[in-house]
Amino acid sequence: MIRTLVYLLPALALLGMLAPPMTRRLGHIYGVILSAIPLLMMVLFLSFNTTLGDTQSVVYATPWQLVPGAPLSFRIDGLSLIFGVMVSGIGFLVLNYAAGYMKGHAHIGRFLMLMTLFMVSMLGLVLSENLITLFFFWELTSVISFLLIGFDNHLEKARKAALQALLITAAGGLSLLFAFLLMGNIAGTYTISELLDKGPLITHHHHYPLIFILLAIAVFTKSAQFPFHFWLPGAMNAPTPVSAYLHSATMVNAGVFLMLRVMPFAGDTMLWKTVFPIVGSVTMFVGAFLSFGERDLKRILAFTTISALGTMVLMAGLGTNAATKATLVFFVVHGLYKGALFMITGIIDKSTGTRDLMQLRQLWKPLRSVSGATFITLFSMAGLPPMLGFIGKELIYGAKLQSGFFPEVMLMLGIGTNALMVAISILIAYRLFWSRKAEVAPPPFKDKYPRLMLLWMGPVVLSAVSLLLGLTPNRIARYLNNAIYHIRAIEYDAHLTLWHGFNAELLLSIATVTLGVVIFIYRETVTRFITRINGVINRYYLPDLFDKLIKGYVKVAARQTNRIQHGYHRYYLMTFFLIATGAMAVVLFPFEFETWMTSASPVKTHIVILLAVMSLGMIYAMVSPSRLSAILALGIVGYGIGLLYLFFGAVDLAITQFLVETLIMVLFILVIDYLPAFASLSVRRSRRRDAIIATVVGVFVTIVVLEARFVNVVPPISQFFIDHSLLKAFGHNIVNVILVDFRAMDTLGEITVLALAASGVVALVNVGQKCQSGQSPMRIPPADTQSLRTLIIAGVVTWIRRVLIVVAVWLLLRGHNAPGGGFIGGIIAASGYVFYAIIFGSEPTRKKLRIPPFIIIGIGLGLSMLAGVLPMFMGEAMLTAQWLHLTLPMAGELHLGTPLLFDTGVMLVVFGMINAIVLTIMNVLKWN
Amino acid sequence: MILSGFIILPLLYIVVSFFPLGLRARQWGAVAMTVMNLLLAVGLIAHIASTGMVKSEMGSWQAPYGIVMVADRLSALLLLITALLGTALSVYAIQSMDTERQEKGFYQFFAGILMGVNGSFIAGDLFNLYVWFEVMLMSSFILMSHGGGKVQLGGSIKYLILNLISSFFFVAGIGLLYGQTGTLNLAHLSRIIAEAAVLPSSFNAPLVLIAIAFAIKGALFPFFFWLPASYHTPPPAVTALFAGLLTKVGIYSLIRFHTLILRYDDAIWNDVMLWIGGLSMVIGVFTATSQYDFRKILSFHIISQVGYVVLALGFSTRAAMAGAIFFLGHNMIAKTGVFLVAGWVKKRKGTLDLRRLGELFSRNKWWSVMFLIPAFSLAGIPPLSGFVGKYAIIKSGIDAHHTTAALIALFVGVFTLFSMLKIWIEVFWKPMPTAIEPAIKGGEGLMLTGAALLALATIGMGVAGAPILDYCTEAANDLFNPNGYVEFVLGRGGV
Repeated sequence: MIRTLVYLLPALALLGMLAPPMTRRLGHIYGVILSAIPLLMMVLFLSFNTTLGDTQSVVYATPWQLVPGAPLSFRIDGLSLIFGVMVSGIGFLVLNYAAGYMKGHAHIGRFLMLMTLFMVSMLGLVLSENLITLFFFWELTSVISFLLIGFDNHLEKARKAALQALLITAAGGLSLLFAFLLMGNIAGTYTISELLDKGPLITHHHHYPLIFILLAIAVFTKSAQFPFHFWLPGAMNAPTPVSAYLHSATMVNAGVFLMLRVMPFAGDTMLWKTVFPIVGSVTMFVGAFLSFGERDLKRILAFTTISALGTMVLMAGLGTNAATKATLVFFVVHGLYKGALFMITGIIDKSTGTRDLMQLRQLWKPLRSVSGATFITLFSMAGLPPMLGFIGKELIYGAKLQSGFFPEVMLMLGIGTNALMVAISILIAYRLFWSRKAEVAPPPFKDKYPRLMLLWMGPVVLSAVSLLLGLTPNRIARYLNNAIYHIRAIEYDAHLTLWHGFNAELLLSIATVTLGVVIFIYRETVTRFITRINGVINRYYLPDLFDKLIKGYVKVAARQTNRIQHGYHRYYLMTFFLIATGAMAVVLFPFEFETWMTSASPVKTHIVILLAVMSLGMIYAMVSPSRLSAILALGIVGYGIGLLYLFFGAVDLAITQFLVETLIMVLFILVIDYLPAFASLSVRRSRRRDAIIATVVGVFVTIVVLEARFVNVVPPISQFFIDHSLLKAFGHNIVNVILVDFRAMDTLGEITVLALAASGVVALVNVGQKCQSGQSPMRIPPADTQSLRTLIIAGVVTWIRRVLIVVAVWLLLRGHNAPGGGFIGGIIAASGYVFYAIIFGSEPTRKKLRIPPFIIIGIGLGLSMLAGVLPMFMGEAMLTAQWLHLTLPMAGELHLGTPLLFDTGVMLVVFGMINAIVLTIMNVLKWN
Repeated sequence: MILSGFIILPLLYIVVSFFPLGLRARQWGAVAMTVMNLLLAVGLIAHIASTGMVKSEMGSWQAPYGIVMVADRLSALLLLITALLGTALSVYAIQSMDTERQEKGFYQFFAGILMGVNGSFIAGDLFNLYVWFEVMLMSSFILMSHGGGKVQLGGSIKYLILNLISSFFFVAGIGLLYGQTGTLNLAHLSRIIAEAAVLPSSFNAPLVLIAIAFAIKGALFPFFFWLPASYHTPPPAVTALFAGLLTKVGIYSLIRFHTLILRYDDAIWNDVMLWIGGLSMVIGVFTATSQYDFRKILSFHIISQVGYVVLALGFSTRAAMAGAIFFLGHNMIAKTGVFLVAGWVKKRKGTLDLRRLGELFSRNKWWSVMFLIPAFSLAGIPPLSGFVGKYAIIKSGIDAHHTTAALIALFVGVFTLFSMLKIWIEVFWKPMPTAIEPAIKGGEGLMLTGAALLALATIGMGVAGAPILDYCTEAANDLFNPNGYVEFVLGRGGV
């Protein structure tokens, strides 16, 4: 049967989610249809009463795990039964009520959907057998209540209230999660049945205080305990059906439920028995006290809920058998009357257009059957016989009398609270039914609402149940027995009667009622007094305070953000370099200067001279007054590096370096006139600072290199390349073999970068050109170039271009065995065209190229890719070289293979890229 | 064989798009490419789930001499998520990007990013990883500056320069490491370090350099400046792409580097990770709260969320690693999902300033749902993916006795929630302050499809949280057993 219950949950959720489309077809009736499921669930819950007995519990775990080790599992015992019956029963009534209340509303579908989901999450919460499951539903109730409170999202106060409610309850939810994780860590399980006897393990652990604080935060935030209570009055911005449900059976009661659920393994400690009673009694009294100063019926009810929650937290905090019983009974009492009262308030609001108690009067007749329900309900709230409320109150007094925790203080607070409740109940009844005067006459009474069955059914049923249970309270005794068995691990006989005989509790009750009547009679004095105190309190109005707190935090955050993310590029750079240098200094300390000195090998003179020249070039580049000279000085450094390569025997690298350096210089000189005027923007001091930082970074990089020089842990892999280059890759030129074979994947990546760069430059320049079209100065007027285009020069340039192509192809072909290769070949071939373009402009060069540079790049990249993919068709790994060995009569043995194809692709990409970039830039410069 | 596909597919697209093609062909070609990439990734993960690891030696040159591509469970998962994001974004971009950018090579650079990211996830060689970083950097720089005005260019310059420093550190570190060990292969490096009796202190300098390079890429404290300075400037689809992938590659590399190499100096590095992760986490949410730009809020949160992952690395247990992997994957999906909604808002209203937006809830319920799902997921609400990730990390923190760090990580969640609610309330609930005309006209169906794909993924990852986390635990086990990786790549004896 528990399975049926469990699977009704997703069914209900699904039907709820169908509400928006269904209400469009069926209207509000869909809400009534929907309510059949909670009704069914309530019946199922009730039927457990007989099967469960006094000590049984039933558990069902679904196969689905939310997180590993925590299946979505459910349990039914007395506690979940009591809560389950209330949640589903009131849920059934509230859904019907909501259908009537929101009838004709544009978003009734969305509303019903959220209500249903809210119900599902609350039911899931009370049925949880697993702490993680419990947390899951706990968070869901928070999130859905956020959407419900903010349902009227065009109202600012609704949005604000929703935000506050979610922030507070979600913070509580996270605390709960952490507490659960700690408990799970200690006990090794999240399953409640298994945790039941792990109490001592948890409560004696050194993390218990932390667990307790986190649990308490969760309870206080969810159950609106002082000083976290302020989100609850704000929550009344939700449509009234939500309030009715939120206050009576769901959401705020979850905190109390949590206390009862974890009490067997996290309760019964000094902390528990001190903190909860103190906070509970303060909340209890403050809530009742503040409610007396309110005029809005909904706000009054909200504050009485806070008071009632305080009572429940206090009782659950005392944690004795009697107190536990009182908590449970009072939960039922409160749920019944609070649900009814909110629904009644909704009817009054709809009928009269106001909820201001001072404007209402003479509603006995117009409210029809609701009047009787109101009257009975208020009786229960005041705790008068023969209502269940009376029994609840007696039990509370009894529990307080028995407890050892300052019974006098608590009784005084309790009597005060209950007397205020009595007075409020009388006041509400008086205002609604007898009072003849009203401050302002309410607008005309709309008669149709009290007649609507969907609306009056809820209050009438609830008040009838209140009365019925008051007369025959023992009906719930068995639930209590089972619940107390699972909370207190004690077989308990919770006999309930309306009449206990003459005892201390009765005396206290009589005193309470008398005091309540007195307060009612002197209500104006009391109200004035409370209003004055309220005035003081309102200066520290918590919702506003919370708002200010958030605003203040945002302001601080903004200030600090501007400090952290300040936007000054140079400081970002400084941060990067200084931290990196600092970190290196830390790991390298202490420096082994002596090792460097003793093991340093002599440096050759020509290298020293070269380095000196490079350094001079570097320094000149930094201090030079113009951009052109700086670029030329940098060129010296670049060529110097090339020479260094040459001296150390890397011919390919040297050639590449020279070519690239030349090309960069040409590009620089092409655009140099278009750059903004050269100016030194930094002051002397910041330049000095930068110089120091740069020096420090440089020194540390030097140290790192020096340190690294003397370590060689294992023989390097380069020996493999030397050994295998010729034998297996058929190439003498190891550099080239590495590029096109051993590490061809790197090359493939790099030529992709080149290809994308070409594509990117063209895209960027084209867009940039669009921005400043018309302003671009023409560097070389056509007339000037005309004079250059003499036949001889044209001929020479054309010949140079042709020769360079031949040279390039030759370099490509010999590359595998001698210095050369596709990259160098590509640059050389392209330089011919660049030369041609400088003389003749970009358009003629494009014509000479015949194929657009982009397509050349595409073909090149495609060829290299093909060289990679071809072997895969032969079942080998990507880029595996495939060879064709020919023996030619003259040239001897010839090895033709995919690496050549690959290298051809590289050449084409480089060639196309240079052409694409240069021609595009020249186009922009109108160098046609 | 299958691994090469992750390179070849995007490369093929790049090659083809150098030839003149119509707009339709470019768009749907990109969609076809990403869908094929997705199928490939699904195939790979199915294969890896049973076998554990796959490698492919490029050019058939045996590791460590040649370049080897390796995928373990971590790589396979990230490849799958990347492929998913790629698919969603290629569909989304069709209606999100302006036609001019689409014609001028948007998809080509998009493919470049995909190629770089895919390559990074399977690179078994340090220098090869650097090459993929370059592919990514070039593509991302172009995408970022492509067709933009002054603001966008300013952002891209910061992006480029700060990332170039990362490249500089990286390549300098590689050079120094190669100088000392004579190898570039990650597995080989790991073996050398593991077998060396005493490591010379000079070894640490390149490790520091490389770790900083990854930290810059991953936008960790105190190297994150480039991210908030630039992410809000390019078109939204581009930001979505970056947010999902770029920083995550940095974090992935850090994980790989940490588990293979840095772990031999465990004590120090764990503390470093703990502090860097923790500070990133806190500073990220802190700086985000003061923002009023949809994308800036999200950008600052990226810092916080990568901080979570690195914090978990600092916990240094298998469970924490599993949580970190899960969280990384979750974050890629959910973050991109929220950015996609930002893109739609931008298209609709022409602005992303929260103060000038409003009222999108009333007539756009599907888009509202598309926002709420990933937003709540980022805030860690169950049963969405973010909850499972956060749960795993915090639980592992408690189990590893880092209670304070775990507690901080938990409450950072409140601020994330605050930011998400702020966006929701300001953009969706609040009445419209001023009427703003839609910026670009045109359909939204494909955009919604892309966003829905990611929303479903984040739900799926949450609902199937337990089995996925189990998978992540296996991945973490692999990572905690570097010997297994090393032996798989190099063979038992060898070198």
